[in-house]
Amino acid sequence: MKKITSLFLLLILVLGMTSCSSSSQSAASETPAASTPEAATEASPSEPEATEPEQDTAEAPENPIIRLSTTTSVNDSGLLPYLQPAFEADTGYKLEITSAGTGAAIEKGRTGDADLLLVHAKASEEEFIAEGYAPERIPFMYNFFVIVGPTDDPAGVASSENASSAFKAIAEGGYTFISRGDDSGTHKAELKIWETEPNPETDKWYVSAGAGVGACINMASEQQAYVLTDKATYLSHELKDTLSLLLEKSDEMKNTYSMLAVSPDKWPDTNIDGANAFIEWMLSDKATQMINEYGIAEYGEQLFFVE
Amino acid sequence: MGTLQEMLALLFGENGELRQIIGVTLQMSFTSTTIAVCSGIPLGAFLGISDFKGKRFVMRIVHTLMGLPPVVAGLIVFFLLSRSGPLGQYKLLYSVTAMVTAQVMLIFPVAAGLSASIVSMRAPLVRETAQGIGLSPWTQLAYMLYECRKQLFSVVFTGFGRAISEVGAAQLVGGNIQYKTRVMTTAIVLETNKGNFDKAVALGIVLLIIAFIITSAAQLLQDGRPTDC
Amino acid sequence: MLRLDRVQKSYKGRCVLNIKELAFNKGGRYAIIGPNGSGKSTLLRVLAGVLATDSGQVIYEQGLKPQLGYMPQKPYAYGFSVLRNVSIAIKGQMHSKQAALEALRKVGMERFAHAKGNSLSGGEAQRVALARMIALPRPLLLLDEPTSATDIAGSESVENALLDYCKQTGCTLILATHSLAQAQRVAETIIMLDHGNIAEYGPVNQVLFYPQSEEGQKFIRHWKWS
Repeated sequence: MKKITSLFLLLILVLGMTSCSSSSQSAASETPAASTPEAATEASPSEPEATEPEQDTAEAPENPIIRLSTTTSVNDSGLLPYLQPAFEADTGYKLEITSAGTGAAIEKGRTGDADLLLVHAKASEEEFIAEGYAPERIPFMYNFFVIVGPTDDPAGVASSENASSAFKAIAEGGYTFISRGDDSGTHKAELKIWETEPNPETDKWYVSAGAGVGACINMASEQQAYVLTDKATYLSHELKDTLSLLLEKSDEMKNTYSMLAVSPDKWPDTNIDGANAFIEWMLSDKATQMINEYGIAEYGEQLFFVE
Repeated sequence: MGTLQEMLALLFGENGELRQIIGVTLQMSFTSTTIAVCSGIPLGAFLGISDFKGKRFVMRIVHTLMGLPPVVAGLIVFFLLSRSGPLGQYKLLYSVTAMVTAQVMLIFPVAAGLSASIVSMRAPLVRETAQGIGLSPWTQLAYMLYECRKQLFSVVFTGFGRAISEVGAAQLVGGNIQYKTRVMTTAIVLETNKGNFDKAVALGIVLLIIAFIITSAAQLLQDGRPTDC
Repeated sequence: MLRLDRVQKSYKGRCVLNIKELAFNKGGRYAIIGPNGSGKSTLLRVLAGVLATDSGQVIYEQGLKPQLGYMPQKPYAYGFSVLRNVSIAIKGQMHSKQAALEALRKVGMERFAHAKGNSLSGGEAQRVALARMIALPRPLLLLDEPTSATDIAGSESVENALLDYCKQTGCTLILATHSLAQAQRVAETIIMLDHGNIAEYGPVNQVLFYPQSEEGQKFIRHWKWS
């Protein structure tokens, strides 16, 4: 009995390892949400057409599955699940969406685990293109970061002219500020705003959290601190009433989202047709309208803007 | 090979951040383990040698608590220490103290349960002899701890292993704050999420080495003289 | 000085002890004999207070219970030195080390004084346990087959040490034994148990040579002089 059990376990282990190694080049791990869809698409590009459920308006394409890698802030805002049913009905493609921090999200493009990226970190995107992983970046929508903080606002952020003067006031007063600290799009934008970048080691008021947006808002609420966050996530966060929205729509806080299709030169098996179909659909009038309308009903204001 | 270089650079290079992270990790783990075993082992041993009416029930509770998921312990501590919680006034959330609290909650039952089991194996042999010469319960406990010292010591290492590899509660109540509550496990999660897989793997290897050293030490103690227990 | 009153004890549905009354006098020497499973160990445990009865009670003379000494059949020796194993039984005395050494000498174990307790054989452990018993004056000794693992020569020297001790301290001795010869050498009164009940009770030679009961006769007829 013991022999059989250990052989069985060994078999499972071997199967697990081979499926992992075939779906990624590096020794890296993937976010748990991603692992099952990755293994599924590994099978082969030609999926049997009979398995397409939502097929009333369009014909099934050859490779219907598009692996879209995006960031946690986009995902947490709820925009993609909102757009997904319309896209899938119109085109016959199926979206498999994974989200992670910006760095890991872009890395998926490098490792061939995504067909398409939807991110908001211009410098990282340009690096990605320079390395040849994508031919171009297509910026298509934007929104603003906002500065959120304690209602009594000791640093006077609400009356600041713009983001940099607000940050300056925070630094001078030594008021607690929660930073994402994870190289995400938000983090990079935040770093640009500081006149002199704070040092988490010596500036005790500057908290480098190394966590996602939601967790940072938790921390800000807990410590009644300032934090830079995107508006959509803040509005949908449960603790938003413990803090106040102090500053928005300052130029330095514009956050541009782009789409990048992974190049077949690097990954021949990538679903380039699917990626392009998604990009085309997102730039259409219908999508534009949907994006502009998102959030108005629930939060009373527009969360994403299309240029 | 890039990973090996990365690892060595992280450990011995100019940037002291990894050393600081290891420092916080060890500080947290030592503290939680010490508190948990100093209270858990004597209590467990006492349960092991005692024979009272509700003993089975108490042991069942201890064994159930041993299976407490770490992240649930983190959740409990989170709500206890948060601003809106009963202990919010002390502002202990997102600190090493909070992490230690959650870990003690996890390791204490483990220490007590394992100790009780270890001691229970030997207790029947000893009980009547000890009672027959009139040893007080405290003396009996002390001698029993002495008798099972090797195995009880391995419980310490087991506890330490749990503390150092714990990530769920550490992230929840510690917040992974750079230079403050970032420990090896939460740092690995962060680097992975950032896409710095090489750095994450390097951190992982260092953590593995530490964990293996601990487990081997525990094993060596377990395989003590065969006449014990 | 010590008596049992309507004591009953069952274990897993089986009655292992059923004694209506039984009394022990100060300074007496009693041997409990009987076939295996007759309840000898159980009776001693109950007398020592390490086992609770289902019903009935054990009545002790004032101050007796905390001072008695009980030695189980398989006594335990701790991992520290034999000398220490004995001296822990001597409470609050200044020269406990000396007294312990003296006790070890009486049972013939002084050579083992610095050996580790967990390196002893069964017979050696029994003698150490006995040393614990006689290392200080006690009003009552309860011994469960104290020489079961010891050879004949060893047994005799142990018995002599016991008898000396009893003479010096005037203590009461109650011991269980499977050796009728030992019972004859050591005891004045014999109690024979059968299935938890008292089958025989009386002066040693009377019971051994003229058992009254059916069980008694059956048992004693089959004994081996050892």
